[in-house]
Order: sequence, then structure tokens, then C-alpha cells
Amino acid sequence: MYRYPKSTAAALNIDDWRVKPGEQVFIYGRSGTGKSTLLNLLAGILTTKEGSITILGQALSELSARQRDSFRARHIGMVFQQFNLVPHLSVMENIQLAAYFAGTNDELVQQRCQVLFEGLSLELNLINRRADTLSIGQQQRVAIARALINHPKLLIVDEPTSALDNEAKAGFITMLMSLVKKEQTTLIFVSHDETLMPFFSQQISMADLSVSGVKHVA
Amino acid sequence: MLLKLATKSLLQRRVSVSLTVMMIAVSVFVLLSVETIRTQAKESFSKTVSGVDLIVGARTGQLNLLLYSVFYIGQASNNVSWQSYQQIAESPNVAWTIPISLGDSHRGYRVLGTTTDLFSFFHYGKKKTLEFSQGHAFNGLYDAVIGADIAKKLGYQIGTNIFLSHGVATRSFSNHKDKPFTISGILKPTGTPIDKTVYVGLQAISAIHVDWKNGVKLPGRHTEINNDMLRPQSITAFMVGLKSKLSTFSVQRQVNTFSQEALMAILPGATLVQLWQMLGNVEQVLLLISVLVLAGALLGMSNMLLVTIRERQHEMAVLRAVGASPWVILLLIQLEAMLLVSFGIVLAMFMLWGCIQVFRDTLISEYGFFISEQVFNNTIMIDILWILLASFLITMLPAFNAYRHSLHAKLH
Repeated sequence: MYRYPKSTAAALNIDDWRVKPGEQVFIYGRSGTGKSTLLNLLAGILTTKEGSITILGQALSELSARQRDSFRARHIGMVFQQFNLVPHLSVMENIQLAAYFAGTNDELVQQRCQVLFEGLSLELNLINRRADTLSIGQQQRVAIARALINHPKLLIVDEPTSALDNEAKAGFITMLMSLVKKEQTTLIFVSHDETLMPFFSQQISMADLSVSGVKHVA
Repeated sequence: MLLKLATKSLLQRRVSVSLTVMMIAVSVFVLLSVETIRTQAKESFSKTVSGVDLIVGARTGQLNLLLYSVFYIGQASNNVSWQSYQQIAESPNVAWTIPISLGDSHRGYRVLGTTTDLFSFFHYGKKKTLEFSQGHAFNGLYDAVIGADIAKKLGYQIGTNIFLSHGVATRSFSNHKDKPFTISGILKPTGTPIDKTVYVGLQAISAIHVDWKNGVKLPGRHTEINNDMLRPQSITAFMVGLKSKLSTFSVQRQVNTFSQEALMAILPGATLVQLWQMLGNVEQVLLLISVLVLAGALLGMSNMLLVTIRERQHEMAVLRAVGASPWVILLLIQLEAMLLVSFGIVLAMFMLWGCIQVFRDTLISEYGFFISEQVFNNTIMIDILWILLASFLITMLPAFNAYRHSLHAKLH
């Protein structure tokens, strides 16, 4: 259960939920249903007030804040709706940033870059361009590459297609799916766009996930 | 990696960053200048004269006598007659005297008329005597000894002929063209105004002023010089060395109550202390002002960083998403501040160094204030450490703000 500071109502209350490794889970629901809160809990940015979250066999509540940050760096990739990259850094520097916090060595980063860029249909010569000179579509694909650079076991993606047009959206999601299957990464994909649902192995709505009506004072 | 991130982020905000760096540079420059003048003035003034028990001149203020006789600041109100000088010099307690006759110059450098006793009895710094790097003291009437700096700056060597000018302006219109001097000796560097002084014999001073009256050359006159004319009529002041320190006050009283002429004797050390006491308050005020200016600049920087943190929410969120802890965010802001301040300090040091190069000569010749070329001494380095510490503390404000933001900021 998670409750916002200064709020008496529980923002999110999940009874029990498990995801098997290697699955692609699609979570949908209207805004305000706690999608974003769920993702922040999974990423270890927020912590539960009651109950526990176990990721890859590690209970997040047992870790200190610093350990959670380090855990996130090494095992979890994250992609948001937009603003995924530091605008004044180059594409390569953005990717190196993620590798830096996970402690991945430079040689491996170079190799991974080649593989990921190919899988994402990104031209390698974009690598030295400043992130803010890329198109939105390119930026989102670079964000995926950045999120996967450390070979994470879990990829958390939040509405990554909201800024893309329909054609780009389909292309993006196909690329993402084939990449996570190849990398055997567990994918948790949050969106309100239910047209994307058929791409995933498992679908769940926030309404089903969250125990409704539990908004009492804890 | 973090350093790269900090640098790129600063480069991203070039205009506001360069203004901030300028602001810091100017304020650090002010502080370092005050410090330099403060520390070096004391050192320079104390170094200039040592081992002199008394300085005697016409009756005037104590400070005035010290300033014009040793540091060439200001003007003598009156001269000391030759007879009075002789009389005091011969009194039983006096071991030696060095007469000083000022009023002429060579290309902006002071000319000091004296006797060869200067080279045997005068001390500077830690009781060091004057030494020659080349040549010897003045023997002939028109011989001159020059300080190390003059030789270096003007490229003079033993045997070079020079003209003296009447008065102390750099470009004097009344030159003693008819009486050229020959350089007989060059002194070793002392780090005091001595390096910037031309020394000639007292007789030479008399000789070049034959046919002069009230500071102008009488036109058409050219008198042959005889020994009678070479006897000095008066001198500006003189330094006294005593046989025993115990007689200092009795000799001082003897001079102060000298009946033929209104004279005065001062103890250079005691008068210097008086000078510091007078300057002490001014010094404190200057230091306080420069510290406040610096504090203003650092607060300005802090504010600049604080404002940008609001604009950089997305950047912070990205950093958190890839695994940066809130401490990394705090460190990043600190790093940016340190880069700004360090850059400002480097710029300030360049400014200080440049200013000293430009004004060094003027300070020495106008105020007898010798700034050593080694500007970045311990005091300055300690100041810089303090500045860095102060900016670290002030930056904790925006840095901690960024920390708090990134701790609670949700990612989306």
C-alpha cells in the first residue's frame, strides 16, 4: 500500500500481484488510477507504507535508499512519455550516463550500442548528435537503448508512444517487442491506449489490480 | 562522468554562467587585491629600512619625515643645513650617519644624493647590507650607482652615460644636460625601493645645481666648478646609527632641542608601528567591504543555481531513473558551483597578476611600495581555500534544495 505524504487516503492498494520473468505485461487505466505511483514503487523511488515489493527475488523494503538507487541502475530500465534524455548531452553521453551508474564498462557499452541501435533501426552516426537535435521518435528509441544498455532484467515503460503518430507508434512497439523478446527482458508497459493491447502476453487494468474502495485512514 | 555532466550543463547556460563567473572573478579580485596590498605593504615597508636608529630631518610630523625620507612619499617641508648635520654627526654617541639629498630624478626614478657611507652602513630586510652585482661605489664627481631594476629595465651597464632631471616627473623639461653621469656600479636586487633608485654623491647634487636658482637654470650662465661650490649647503634628511642603543632617547632629545635649527629625530621602527595603527582601521574596513562583496557574489551564484534547479526537473528525473541517488544530484550542484568559483578565482588571479605587472613600477616610484613579483603567497592561497569553503557552504542551499526535490520527485 502506498500513501502520499500529507494525504490520509491510500493512493494505491494492491492485494497481491506477480509477474513471471520474461513476460510482457500491459497495464492500462485512466489517469489518476495510480499507474504512475505503481511504476515509481517498482523502480524503488517510492516505498510502500505497508506490505512489500519483491523484484528479481530482492525485497525492495530491505534495501536502503542508496541501495535501491544502485539496484535500479543495475537491474531496471525506465522509459517515460517524453524527456527521457538529458538534452545538452550527446546520444552517446546519455547512454554512458546509464552505464556509469550501473558500473558497466565502456567496451561492453560500445558493443551493446551496436546491437541495440540495429534492433531499434537507429543509425549509428546519430550517436554524437546532441539529444535535443533528434526527432521525438528518435529520442524515444534512444531512450529504449539507454534503458537496455545495462542488460536489465526488468524494463518499465510509461506511455512511451503518447508523443508519436499512429504509424510511428506501430513501428516503435514492434521494435520494442522484438528487442525485449531477444533480450529476455521482463516488460511492464503502462498506457491508456488500449489499441496496443494485442502486442502483449498479459494485460491487466489498474482497476482490477487495485483493491477498490480501500480509502480509509490507515 | 559527473564532471562532464556538470561542465556540459554549465556550457548549456553560457550567458548566465559567464556573468556569474565574472561576478565572482571581480569580487575575488577585490578581496585578493586588498589582501595583497595589506600583507605586502607591511612587509615592504618593514623591509625597506633596518638597523637605522634615528632619522633626522627638518621639524615636521613624524610620519611625514619617515615617509619622505625612506619611502619618498610626499615632500620635505624644509632642509637640514650642512652645519647642523655636521654638528650632530660629530656628537660622541653617533657611530655613523648617512645623508640623504632628494629632488632629482632620472626617467622617473628617484635620484638620491648621499655619501659612500650608504654602502657600508645602510641595512635593509634582515640586516643585509647593499652589495654590488657589478662595479663599485661612486668615486668620481659624476659617477652614479643604480639599483638592479633600473639596470634591467633600461638596459644600463657599467659605463653607460645618463642625464639627471630636475624634479621627479617621468618626463621632466628641465634636464641637467650639461652634466652627464657615468654608471660606476649596479646593486644586487634587494626587493625594496633601492632597486629603483639612482645613487650619486652629495657633491654631484651640488655640482648639477650650480647656475640654478629656484628650480630653473639661469640662461647663458656656465660657471666653472671649483671645490668651494661642491660643498653642500643643505641636505633633505639623514639617517643615524648610534654606538649604543641606550643613547637613542638622549640623542633624540638633543636633536629635538637643537637650538640653531628646528630639527626632529624619529625612531623608524616606532613610527612604522604608529603608521600601522593608523592604517589598521582602514585595512579592516577594506577587508570587510571586500568580504561582503564576495558574499554578495556567492549568494548571487547560489540564486542562479537555485533558479535553474526549477528548470532542470526533467534532467534530475532522468538522472534518478538511471540510478543516481539524491546525493549524486547534490554533488552535481556542488560540482557546478565549484567549477564556477574555481574559474572565477583563476580569472581573478590573472586580473591581479596583470594589474601588478602594470602598476608595479608606479607603486614603487610613487609610493615606495614594493610588491614582490611572487604574488601568490601563502596568505593568498589560504584566502582561496576560505573562498572555496564559503562557496561550498553557500551552495549547500541550492544543492540541498535539489536533493529534496529529487528525493520526493516522482518520475514520469
